[in-house]
Amino acid sequence: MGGAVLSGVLDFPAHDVPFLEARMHLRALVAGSLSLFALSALSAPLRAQDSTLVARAESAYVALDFSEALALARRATTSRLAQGQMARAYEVLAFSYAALDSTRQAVEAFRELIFLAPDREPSVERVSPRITSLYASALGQVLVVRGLDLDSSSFVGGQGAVPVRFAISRPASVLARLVGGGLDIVVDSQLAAGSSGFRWEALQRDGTPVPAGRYRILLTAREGASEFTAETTIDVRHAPVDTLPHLTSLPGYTNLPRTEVPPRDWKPFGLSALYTGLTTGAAFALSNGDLGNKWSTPALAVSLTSLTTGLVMALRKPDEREVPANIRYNDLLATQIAQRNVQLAAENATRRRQTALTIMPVETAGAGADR
Amino acid sequence: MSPRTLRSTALTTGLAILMAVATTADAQQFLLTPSLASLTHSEIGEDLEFSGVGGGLVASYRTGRFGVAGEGILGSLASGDQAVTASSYRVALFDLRATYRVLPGLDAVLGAQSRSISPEFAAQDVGLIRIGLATETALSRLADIGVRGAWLPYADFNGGGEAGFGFEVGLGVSVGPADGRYRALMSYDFQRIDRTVNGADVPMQMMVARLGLQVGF
Repeated sequence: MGGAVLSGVLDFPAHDVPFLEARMHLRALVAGSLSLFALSALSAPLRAQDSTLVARAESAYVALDFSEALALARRATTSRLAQGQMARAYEVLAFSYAALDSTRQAVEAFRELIFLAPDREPSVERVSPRITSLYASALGQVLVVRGLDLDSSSFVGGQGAVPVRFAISRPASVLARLVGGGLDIVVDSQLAAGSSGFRWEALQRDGTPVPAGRYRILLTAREGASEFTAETTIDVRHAPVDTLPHLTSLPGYTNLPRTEVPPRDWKPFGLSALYTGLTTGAAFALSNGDLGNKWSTPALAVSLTSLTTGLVMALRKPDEREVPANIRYNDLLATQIAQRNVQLAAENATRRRQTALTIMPVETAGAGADR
Repeated sequence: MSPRTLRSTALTTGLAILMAVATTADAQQFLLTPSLASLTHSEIGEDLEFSGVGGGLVASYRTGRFGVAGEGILGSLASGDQAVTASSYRVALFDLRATYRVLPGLDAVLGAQSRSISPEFAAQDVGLIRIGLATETALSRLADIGVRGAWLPYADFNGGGEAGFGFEVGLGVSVGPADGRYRALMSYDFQRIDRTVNGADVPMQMMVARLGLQVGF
């Protein structure tokens, strides 16, 4: 109950990484792998006993029995614990020292806590300002990289980047490397202070995208003799770049009808009447009445046929006729679509040579320090 | 130049033009129009007004702005007046037109015609040259109407005499499917020539009406 309350107050989730591995990483001076194997066989039952020490220390702290809490926490810090349990033990230790006004010891305990879990800090809303102040004092004394993070991101290789964020406790030079799959590439180098970051294009030195696979981004901060390395693991996946479909129409533009049915008019009859009247009138005007008029009967028959044809053509539904403006518009539209499709074809040819990259963080893992 | 000479010259020239144009053209239209013809021919006075029927064939070819058409009609004409010297005769009419499109729908026409009468002197053999204009307009996709008029600046007669004023007018209408391959055609041409012989007026006029089927190739 007390441990749960304390964890809830401080908002520290548990960790699964064995403390021994964390210590190796922190100090880089731990025994070799043979002793690790030997110890790992005995570690499981011992860890269960040691973790109860942390819980009992937290309970004692909650019960304001700070001396008991100190004693239990000290025992816990000398035992083999998972990294998360060890962080909780140092936390109880630091809080207890702070409660007993042992400032120096409290700061030292907080420093251990920061090295173990640099991204975790007491919530200013739930702990006393004194504790917050002591934590800040400890943080100012160490060089750590905190909040190393990146979001999942997808982009075309060479045309995008994934933003990588981090914060650094003190101004320092920072070197970022990509390690994995036989690669060890420097991806960024800068002098950083406070919150910072960089954009990673996921490219190799020759400009080609990094091969698909799992990689670590190692961020090493150096200031004088101090050095701290944080890392995060990412997955890089490859996919073909989607090609663009060819256009059959332009958005917002549609072909206009090539033809239209004009409104009915009397033009055909008018034309036939005009032509027939002119011709037949001219024929009668030219004719010589002394030479007879037998010629007029066939001529009038033709004239009557002409007039009738004009009348019928005027009364029937008008023929569809082409609309030149619409045809020019459609031709222009077709030209535009063709030009756009040529551009799309060139774009698709380029896309077929490209690779779509998806960068996904796998986990954010611990830290190493050289103090 | 006698009418027979004019006729043979015109036919030869027309065929030569037709063949030359047909072998060089790109956008081409060739029409063949067999037809029944109604003929009326008058000379001097109403007593010599003959009428009859015949058959004819028109072949026309157009490419671009240029066109050429040749027509031949054979007919038999008779007079209702039995008092005349010859109550009937046969006529052979050959006509040639060359056209040039000066404006959309308007052609300039240069042509020649030859009429031969058998038996000789039953009526006048005539050879003539025409200069005129012709226009053809679509009433719809199914029908066209055409008008032509020509001045006859030169005419020759086997009976002698001189041609004065000469003019002809014509009207034609065709109806058929929109593709233009087949068209029923009805047309007429009326021609007047004021001939004088030794100072005496001997006018003549002729009308040819046709009912035919126009076939496009």
